[in-house]
Amino acid sequence: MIDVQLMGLLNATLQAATLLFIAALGELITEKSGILNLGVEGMISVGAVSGFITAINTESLFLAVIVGVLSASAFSSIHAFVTVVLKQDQTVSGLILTILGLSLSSLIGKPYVGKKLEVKLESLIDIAEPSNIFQVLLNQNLIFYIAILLMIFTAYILKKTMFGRRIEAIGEDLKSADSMMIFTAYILKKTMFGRRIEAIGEDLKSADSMGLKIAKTQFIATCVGGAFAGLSGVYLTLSYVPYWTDGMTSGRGWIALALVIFGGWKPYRTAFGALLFGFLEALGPRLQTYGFEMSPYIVKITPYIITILVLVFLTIIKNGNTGAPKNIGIPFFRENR
Amino acid sequence: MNKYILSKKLYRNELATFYSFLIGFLIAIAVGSLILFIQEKNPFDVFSLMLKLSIGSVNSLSNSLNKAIPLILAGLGISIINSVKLWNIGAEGQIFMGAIALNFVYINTSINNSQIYILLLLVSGFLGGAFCILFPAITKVLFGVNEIITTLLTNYIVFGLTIYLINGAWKDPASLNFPAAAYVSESVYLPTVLGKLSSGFLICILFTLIAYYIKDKSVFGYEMRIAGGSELTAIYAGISAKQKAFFAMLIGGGFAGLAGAIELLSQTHRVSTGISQGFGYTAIIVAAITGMRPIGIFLVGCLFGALTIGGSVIQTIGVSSYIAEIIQATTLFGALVAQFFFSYEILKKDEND
Amino acid sequence: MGEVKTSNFKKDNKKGDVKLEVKDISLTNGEQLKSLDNISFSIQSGEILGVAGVSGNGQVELANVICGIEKEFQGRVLINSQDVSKKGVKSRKKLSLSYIPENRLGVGLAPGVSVLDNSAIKEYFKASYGPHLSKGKMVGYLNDLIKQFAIKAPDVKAEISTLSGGNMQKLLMGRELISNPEVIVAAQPTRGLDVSAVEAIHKLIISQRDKGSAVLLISEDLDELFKLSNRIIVLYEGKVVKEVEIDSATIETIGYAMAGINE
Repeated sequence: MIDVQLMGLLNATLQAATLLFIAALGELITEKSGILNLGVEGMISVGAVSGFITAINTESLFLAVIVGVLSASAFSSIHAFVTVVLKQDQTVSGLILTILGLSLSSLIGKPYVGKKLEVKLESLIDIAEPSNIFQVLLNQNLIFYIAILLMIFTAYILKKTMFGRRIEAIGEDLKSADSMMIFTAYILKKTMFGRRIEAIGEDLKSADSMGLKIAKTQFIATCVGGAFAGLSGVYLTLSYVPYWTDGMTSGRGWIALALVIFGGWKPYRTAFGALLFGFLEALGPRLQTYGFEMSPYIVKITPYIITILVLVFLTIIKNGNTGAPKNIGIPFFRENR
Repeated sequence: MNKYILSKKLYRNELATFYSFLIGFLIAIAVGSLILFIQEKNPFDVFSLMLKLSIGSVNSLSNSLNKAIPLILAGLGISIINSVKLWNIGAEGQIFMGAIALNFVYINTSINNSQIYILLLLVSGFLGGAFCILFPAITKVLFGVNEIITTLLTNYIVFGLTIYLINGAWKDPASLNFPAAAYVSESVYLPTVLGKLSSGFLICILFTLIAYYIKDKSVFGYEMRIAGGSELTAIYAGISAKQKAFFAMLIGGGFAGLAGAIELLSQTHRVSTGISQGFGYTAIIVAAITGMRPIGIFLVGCLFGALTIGGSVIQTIGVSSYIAEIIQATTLFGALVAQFFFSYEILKKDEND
Repeated sequence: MGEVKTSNFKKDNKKGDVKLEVKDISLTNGEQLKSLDNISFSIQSGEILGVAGVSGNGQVELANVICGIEKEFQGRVLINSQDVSKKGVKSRKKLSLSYIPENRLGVGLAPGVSVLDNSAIKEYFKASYGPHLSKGKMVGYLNDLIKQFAIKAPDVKAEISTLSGGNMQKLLMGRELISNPEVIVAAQPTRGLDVSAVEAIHKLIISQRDKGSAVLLISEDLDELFKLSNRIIVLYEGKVVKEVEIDSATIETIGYAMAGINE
């Protein structure tokens, strides 16, 4: 006899975890390529609001998901441009995008606050009170399964494919730095300073292509990260909490960032971390039913406290070697001798 | 054979940061106008109304400058911490903690002399902010824990603590639907000068000069710069980078805590969720735009204060107040883009060099 | 091959008191490996002791121990017959020790920091009155450096890496040498520099030696060692495997010793 309440807890855990995990997975990919994107919170918000608005206006969930994912990705491409091409400070750029993302979504979402969705992301099989694990699993909706697929897919890509290994190499290998600048010069020549197009010799081409690969990879990795964040946002407003209000992301983007560190930049471990944090989030409101008398306000902040403690603990035992990609946060520069 | 190389400019224009700011601001206005167009509002009307109601009268100017106080103080704190190349994303939480600390001291003490009491309360606010950043500071210095995440997550914790307090132990029974703590007595309100301008603004000016001195003219500031450049160089120079980082963070946190204390004593007069409306985050933008320069932070802070006031009043004509925030964020954004062009140049490099 | 390159640099040999002495220095790194194994030598005033060896055989560790950056070691370091083994970097510098690290930009000079700030790293406390730092004094001090060492630094507020490698090294060395230190530790001082810069740096080292400094010159460049040193020791796997006067040294024997080959 498995407690129905326990199953309810598991149900909520999986949902909360999915939300966190997708965003964290996206950021994992971005960071692996060496770009730190602090704008995750803003991107989730952008994806959430645009998906919601699309759903309300078109009643098509499919379209809503697409729009949510693409808009967040487009938003993250701004970060990609500023950090990869213009090589500006990644911390500042990410922070601005968080603020911009949050205010833009509040701005756009204002007229939609309080609106009810006619369509909602349905579970695979709708079960009101799941009473065993299988029923819980079946009660999840499509995005949950997409998340699992993404996890396996990402892990595979990072380890087994050329593209993935290139991402990792860029994150670790600084020698490619030189070529980055040549790439940028190349881009600027072709697009902005068309008048200055000159014949490019053979030597330049080979250096170019290497530099091209770095920049392209980082750019793509950042946009993919944004897309994932968008998907997470869509999940938020179309399923988890099916409406829109200001600030509904509640710092989940930041927890996702911490999750990436917690997961040591490995997809499966990150999933485990997401489950843990999802559990905490789901546990909160249920504590009273298990007999814990704690102010709901304090309970609400336990996930953040736990996150910090876990982060500190991890950093200590890893002795500073948290497994972060070596080149993270460093724009590619040629060292002046 | 000619190569084109992107290289860092040797001589950076001294005013590059300022020009970048102007360019960024113009871009932001343009983006703002675009958004207004889309919302079928005339940008010119909106902006002139914003101007008029933010700096058009002594009254509104005072409001704007009052709004600027927390932005400036928190921004100064952020700039001090950035001297050692660390980021304080926790200003928002430190502001609240400053208010909480003040209230805590207020509830448990009683001093007859108003001025001394106010001074004590302000100091408590400063210490509260420093206390708030203590954990991130210690973990950063001792274990190298990422301070961006720790300071940020602390924001949520402190905010939760605030809600807990104003709904529980500190709840003012009179504040039914909008829970908040009890008002502090009028005797400790910060006096105003020149009408509605809070004397907190004078404190602001003072602390701007203090921050400027610390960063620019003091030995401590120099040591922070070296430590921020490279911890190895600091060791080589006999400077304890860890010590500098620790104190920089505490001081920076204190600045933000002070902002919270001033907000309480001059604006809200009690602990409530209205102590800060994102000031801690906007302050990051203010600090970053000016390249972490205290004097610039003061000026940009005033500008952003006016923007925020302008943003809140245009709600009356149906424009979302978020326009102001978007303009602020886009200004920094445009400045970042502009800075690229000031910092880098395309050089022709001869193959045979 | 096998030729000893003499130059007129070594003709003046005014040696004096022992300025730097290291006794039985041993250092174990994290993995229980000895990065320094029982090293002892001394340098007299007016003498350049060259340290030959392939990078990674203990040079950096040796320099760090002598200069006070590395404190967990066995043995003793004496400057001017004073035991400084327990003393920190600043105190050793005050005892007239200067260190020119091989990591020019990263240790010796702070990246992301201005030329002006970098120039004051050694003696900034001389430009300060209590907590106040006098920029005027700093600028004056930097101008002295620029004049004396022919450094090309057009914008002193610019970031340090805007200087060429040679000028950065000149700034670094000038900063460390202008006070005529009695003991100088120089690690790979001419790595990556062009010919004229190398020449200028060599002249600097020689003139310091002639002023009476004791110089520990760590270099991978055998030509440089032969050109400048009075004596050469070879470091191999943390041990001193050879010690010879320059007149009796050959490139062959030094080379073999560097490779760990016992003749």
